[in-house]
Amino acid sequence: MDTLDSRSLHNMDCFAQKFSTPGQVYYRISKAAGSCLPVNRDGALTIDIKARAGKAQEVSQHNVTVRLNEQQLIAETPSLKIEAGDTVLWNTSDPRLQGFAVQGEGPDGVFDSTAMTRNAVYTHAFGTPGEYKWVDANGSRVSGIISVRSLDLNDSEQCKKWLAALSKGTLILIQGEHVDPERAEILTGQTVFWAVEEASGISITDSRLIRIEKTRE
Amino acid sequence: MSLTEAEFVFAGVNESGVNDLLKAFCTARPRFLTYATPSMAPPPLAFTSIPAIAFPGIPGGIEYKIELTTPIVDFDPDSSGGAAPLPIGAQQVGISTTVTLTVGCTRWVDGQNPDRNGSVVPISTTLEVWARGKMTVTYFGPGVGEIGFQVDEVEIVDIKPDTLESVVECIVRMVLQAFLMNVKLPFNALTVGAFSLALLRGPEVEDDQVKLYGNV
Amino acid sequence: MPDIIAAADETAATNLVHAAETALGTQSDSGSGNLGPFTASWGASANFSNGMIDLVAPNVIRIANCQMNYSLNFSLSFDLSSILPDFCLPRVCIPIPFNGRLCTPEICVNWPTVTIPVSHSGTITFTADFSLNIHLTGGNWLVDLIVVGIPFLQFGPAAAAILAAIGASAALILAAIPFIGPFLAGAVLAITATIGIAGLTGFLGTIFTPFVSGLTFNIYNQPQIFQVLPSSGSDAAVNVTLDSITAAVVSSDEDELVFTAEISP
Repeated sequence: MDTLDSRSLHNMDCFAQKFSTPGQVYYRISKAAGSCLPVNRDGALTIDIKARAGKAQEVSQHNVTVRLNEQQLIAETPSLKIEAGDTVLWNTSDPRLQGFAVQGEGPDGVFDSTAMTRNAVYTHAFGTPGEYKWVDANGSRVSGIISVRSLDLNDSEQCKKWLAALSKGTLILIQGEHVDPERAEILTGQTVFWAVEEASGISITDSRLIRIEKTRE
Repeated sequence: MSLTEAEFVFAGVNESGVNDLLKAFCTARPRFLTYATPSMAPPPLAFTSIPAIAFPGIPGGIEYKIELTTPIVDFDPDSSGGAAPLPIGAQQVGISTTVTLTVGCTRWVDGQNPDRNGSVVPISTTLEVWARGKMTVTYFGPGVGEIGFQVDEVEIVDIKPDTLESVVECIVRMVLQAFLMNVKLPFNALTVGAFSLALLRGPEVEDDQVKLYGNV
Repeated sequence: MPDIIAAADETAATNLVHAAETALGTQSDSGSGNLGPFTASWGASANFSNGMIDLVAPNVIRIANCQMNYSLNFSLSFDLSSILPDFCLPRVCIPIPFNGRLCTPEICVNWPTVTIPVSHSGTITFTADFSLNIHLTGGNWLVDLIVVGIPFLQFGPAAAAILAAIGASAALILAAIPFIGPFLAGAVLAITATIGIAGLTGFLGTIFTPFVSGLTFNIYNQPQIFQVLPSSGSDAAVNVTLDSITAAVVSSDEDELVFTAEISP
């Protein structure tokens, strides 16, 4: 089955953060372990947030690709210039990259893909059918179930239906400890978006990973 | 005609092969060819110790020694060319050997010749012995058994009177049979280890061979 | 006439040969080779049993339908992208209440290299002539049956069974790969079709032909100094020398395997 964990992002995951206040953001991309260390501004990746010129302008999304360069994690755009209200989305296309996390601080406060607090989105594309119970690895009561099923793709109608469904996502909105919907049903290959409007610093983690971690303790 | 006939395996030992086996036996275990009271068998002679014949008035009894030469067997048909005084017939085996009888001739009182007081002088005679008998078999179980020899008659030529000949022939027959009781040839040797033999028929003596038939 | 003659008819010779097959035990080998376009590392073992024995004068023992009982383990490694098409998830865009619209980039699936383990056991029968070889080696007289030529091994049924086992193992291994679902049946079919019966037959031939090439069964092994009687107490062992050993198939009213020996004290 897939590995569902916003603490360790792979090529089937994205993490997005909205930046609302002008100023300078410093952040780093790290391997999943070591995420508790503070951001060292010397050599940090930066996002320069300018004030938005007028309300009418549409907000933009900026994509940053993360990749490995001789065992080091790098962002292809190490210094980004955006406007307040824009969103930055991080993802990797490299399947060899065994998990990364994004942590930073700026005018809106700290942001962290391992502990999402405000205006953050985590996405995951599910490749294997099954029942996935997700929880917050940081201990809150936030949780839900994603039920993934497959169609019979030997049937041409079902295959067309499936291909069309791939471009449709499912939204799960998290406000405090409220999750809507708590249960979502999707097809194999579809993407789920967990939008964290306001929370105490949560992760989206497959509950079986928490059991494994507890067993190892 | 096949060798195995109605059975599944066959082992046949030619008389020359049996004679080689007998010679190997007697070479490895020479004590079985000589039976003597200890004083009659000075070292390094290998011998089987026997007690002196006790007789009242003869101090220490009668000392003696019996020596055989390695026997030579002849399987039916007779190969002696008429020399054997006991011709062998169907299923019979002829055995020839020489037996040397030695007696420790003792003088313990000789008033006329004091030099001979307490003397023991060995005196011997060698006899050419012809015997006739059959092959025996002892079967312990599948693949395990042995063949042996049974002596039925002995002929020693030219001993007079005839009654003395009969006495000596009887003694030699008993001695020869006693010696041959120690000579057992296991089935494994008769097949030179080619296969184990569960005996169904034999031993049969013919064609200058002893033959065994069986199953593996 | 030889000192000793020992003969066995075809029934007894069958027992001798079957015992020799058992005594040979299990032979093992390992290696790697190509199975179609795939690389396969393998381990195999085989032993021999049964067969109808036919004695053919002057020195051939024919074993018909001798059974080679084999066990084969191999693993196929290959890059799935060599048999699967490129596949990418399209961009997915949805409205986010606090974020306007958010779109994921196109995400392409990178098919991994997989290793498919396969185990199979079975029996292949073959018929072969064996010639008698008598030799004195290391102080022992040996009579061996040495296969004449290279027996033909019929792999057809075995190949079909192994191909099915490959398909089953592949289905199990591939099922765990994310996004394989739509392609699973096609992938399994591509693997088995690419290998094919012909490819598998060639692969099996490469593995098992060495097991039967030069196949030798030993039916007689005795020291030249042959013990007639063991030592007993103070009595020494009684030995004879096997000066020569012969073995041949003799035909009269029946065919027999005949050993002869000349001995000396």
